[in-house]
Amino acid sequence: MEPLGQSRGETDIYLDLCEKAGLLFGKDGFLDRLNAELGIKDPYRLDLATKPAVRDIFDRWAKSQGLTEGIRFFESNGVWVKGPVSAARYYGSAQNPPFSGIRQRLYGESLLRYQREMQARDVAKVYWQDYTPFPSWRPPTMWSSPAQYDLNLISFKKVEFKQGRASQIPLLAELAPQQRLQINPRAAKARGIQDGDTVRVESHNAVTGVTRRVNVKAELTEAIRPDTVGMPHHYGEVARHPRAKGQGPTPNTLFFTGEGYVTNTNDSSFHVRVQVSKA
Amino acid sequence: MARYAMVIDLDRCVGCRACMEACKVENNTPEAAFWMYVFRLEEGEFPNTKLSFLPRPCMHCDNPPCVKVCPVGARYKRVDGLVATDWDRCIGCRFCEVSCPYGVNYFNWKSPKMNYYLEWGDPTVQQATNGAIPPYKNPDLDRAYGPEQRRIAGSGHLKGIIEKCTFCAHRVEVGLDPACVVNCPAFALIFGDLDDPESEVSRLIREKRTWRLLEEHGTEPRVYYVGGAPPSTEAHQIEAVKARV
Amino acid sequence: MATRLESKTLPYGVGHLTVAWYVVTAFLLAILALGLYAYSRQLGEGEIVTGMRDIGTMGGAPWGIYIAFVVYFVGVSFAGITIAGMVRLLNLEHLRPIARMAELLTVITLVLGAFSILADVGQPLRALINLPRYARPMSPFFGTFTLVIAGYLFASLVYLYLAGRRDAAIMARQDTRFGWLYRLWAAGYTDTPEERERHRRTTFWLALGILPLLLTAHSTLGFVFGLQAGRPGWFSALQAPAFVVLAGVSGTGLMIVIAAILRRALGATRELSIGVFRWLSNFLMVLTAAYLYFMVVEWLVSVYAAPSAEARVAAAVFRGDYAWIYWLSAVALVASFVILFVQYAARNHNLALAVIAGLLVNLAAIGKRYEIVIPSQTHGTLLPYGEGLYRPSWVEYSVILGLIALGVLLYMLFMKVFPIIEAPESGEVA
Repeated sequence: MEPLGQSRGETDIYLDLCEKAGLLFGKDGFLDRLNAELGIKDPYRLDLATKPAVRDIFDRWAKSQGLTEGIRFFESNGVWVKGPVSAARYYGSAQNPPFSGIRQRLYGESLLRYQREMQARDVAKVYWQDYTPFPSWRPPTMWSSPAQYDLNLISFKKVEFKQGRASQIPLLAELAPQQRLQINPRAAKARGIQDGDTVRVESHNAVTGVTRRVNVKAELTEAIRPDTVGMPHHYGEVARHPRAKGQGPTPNTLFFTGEGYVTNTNDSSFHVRVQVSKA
Repeated sequence: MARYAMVIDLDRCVGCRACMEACKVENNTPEAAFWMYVFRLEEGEFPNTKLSFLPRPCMHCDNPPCVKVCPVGARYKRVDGLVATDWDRCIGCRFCEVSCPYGVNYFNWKSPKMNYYLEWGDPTVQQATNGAIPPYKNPDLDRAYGPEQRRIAGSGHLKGIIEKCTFCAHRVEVGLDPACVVNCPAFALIFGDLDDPESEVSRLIREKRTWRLLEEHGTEPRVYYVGGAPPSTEAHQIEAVKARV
Repeated sequence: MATRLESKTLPYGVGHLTVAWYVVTAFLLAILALGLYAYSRQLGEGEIVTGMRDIGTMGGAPWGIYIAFVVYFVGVSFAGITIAGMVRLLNLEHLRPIARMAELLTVITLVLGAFSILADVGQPLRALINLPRYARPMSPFFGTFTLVIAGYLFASLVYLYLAGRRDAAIMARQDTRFGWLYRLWAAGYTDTPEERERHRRTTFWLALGILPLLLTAHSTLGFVFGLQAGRPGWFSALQAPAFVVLAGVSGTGLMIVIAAILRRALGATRELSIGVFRWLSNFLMVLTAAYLYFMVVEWLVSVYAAPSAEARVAAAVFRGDYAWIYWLSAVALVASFVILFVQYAARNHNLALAVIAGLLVNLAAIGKRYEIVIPSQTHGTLLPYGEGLYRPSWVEYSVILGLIALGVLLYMLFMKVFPIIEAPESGEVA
């Protein structure tokens, strides 16, 4: 069927993209790779110098599979899978993982390569400091924030909600109607904060110096360390639902996603240091 | 005749409050009424803080103070142990509410129709819900139950009367367990017949060390707890649902 | 025979409507209208318009000033019938002039008490039908509603009726608008010595019968609270006797105030002599002393080594959110006792001071009723729910004010229809 509206088939887009990027034609170009990937055999191989129509590509593929009518076969008969497909063919070693699946990658050679490459290109350290082949510790970026940001901010999930979409459900919201900052009573007392007070939480990005702040009600609990404050997710009116109005902010506002805080590897601390004061 | 009781295993309870929601949905309780309630308690000072969870349904006491004080006999004790409220007879004096040491009674301060979370008369809501009128009218909640054939099930019937946990009398009537029991993801709530020696409640009471809330008040509650401990005077609520209507 | 008499010659202002009377009546009707409007809001929207809420997860008090005033009104009714009864039983002739106003106070405040209960229940129509239909003696409420309203009120009405027959007969001889009422009331009364003797005997035995009834009624009112083991602060053997005594205190105090007002309004300085006030003041002094004793005992027991739940309620009452009500009431009671005692010791009774004492004890009684009813609900949960909050709303205040206005209105209306002070016993009737 024809694409709807202004949308286009993805292969059309790839062909145009590659043509614009100069990667479409010639050896090792997109068309050459297509021939290999789709297993298009002679005499149906795509000509590496002309831009084909998408239908043509799949017609040649079909003929390479042994269907003389080409793609018309599927247009008349629909698609069917030929024969049972073995699980091993698709899932491979996941069926019988080595060491019964207990496997932790301890050493990543590629990460070392990326690191060395970026160093060679004189890229700033903050961009490659976490590309270490072995998981290695470094002081969390947040420790470089000034001393006035004296509390660690952690966030967590609540059992009542799923993501940001559940806090507008009235029955669930009744159990946890509003956002709260969990703070230890000793820490609260030192800041003149009582249970239920509205407080200002300000976070600091140690790399860029940007600060962000939210106002939220405080809940005093002994179940958190005096040097840490916690704020659950699920609020923040992200669903923009009228019933979620006034529930309070999301801790995501206070976290940063830039370098030093969030990396491509799974091993960094994105937590921030905050200062809390009565609003 | 059966003798119903509930056993709550506090070693299994994770304080998720699914039982509160299940009860609410099953019995159509209005806003801020929690027939089943779960305390999230904390005591001690950091780093020696202890968290605990305590589900609190109605205790369906064998010596119920609420039954004694009801001036019209709307609150009564069934032979099978359930303490039920006849919503046809209740005059809303709230004597049962002030006499209950556990605080399990809920009075309909508003007309229930006005107390169900949304503005059901609002045209946009009507459009979204296709003209539904809350609560979902489960016809089982309007029927008469028990050998006395009195109307005791469900919530949100009238303004100005008292309602409380019924151990899902309308479910027990047909051999099902209460909604909270059935919905607990940790299987922490167990319901059954004490007269049946092989039922899980009988076995648990026989084999494990159990305790009951406020036993020294002589109310003889029918809800037994396994594991955990009675809340100390130091314990206070965190994440309380201080819902005022 | 019966000639048309000017209304001025009817005793004690009966039928005499002054401008002041109209003004006061209009004012009271306005307050009553406010009360009715507030109650209509409550009937329409439910008791959400009050400040009452559920105990427990909702952190409120389901019994508020409606119940506090039920106790207060029923408490005040004690004095009326007691004084009237004592006149008969102890032959306190010099108190005879206040007997009828005391009986009227009892009847009216019992009616107000009943209306307070109806204002409080969530389904008042059902209450009217189901309470008599399904009455359970095991419930202390039975004692309150049935013994008090049905028994006590009925007995008081009978007493008022019987005691008024002679005056009705006197009034019936004059040509007045309410002649039909007087004739009905006095039906069959002939003012012969035998009749008077029979009358005296009947009222004597009725008074004797009412006194234990009223003791039971006030005790069961105390039991409404005192029997609840699940409510720290309420569960106490002291509640029943303390209620009886405070009832006497508030009722006697109010009698002093009413008698003083009527003495001024009717110019009845002869009938309502200082002697009457002296007796009432001394009686009030004794009762106040007795109640202060109860308060000291209650305080001592609460703060010595009470269990944690009771200690929590006591802390809220003596040092916390309710301290101002408690201590103001205590100071008012002590002040009034001092006033009365000094007068007694100096044998010099001043009317104005007596009235002040009477007002103080009534304010203290209201404060004390509030302090009994509310703190055990908001601060007396046995499971760790935390503290609660109760703040009465305008609806509750309006309904209570409306009821008080109704009471005063009924009193004033009665006074215009029937002599509020008994004609002297020895007076000859033509």
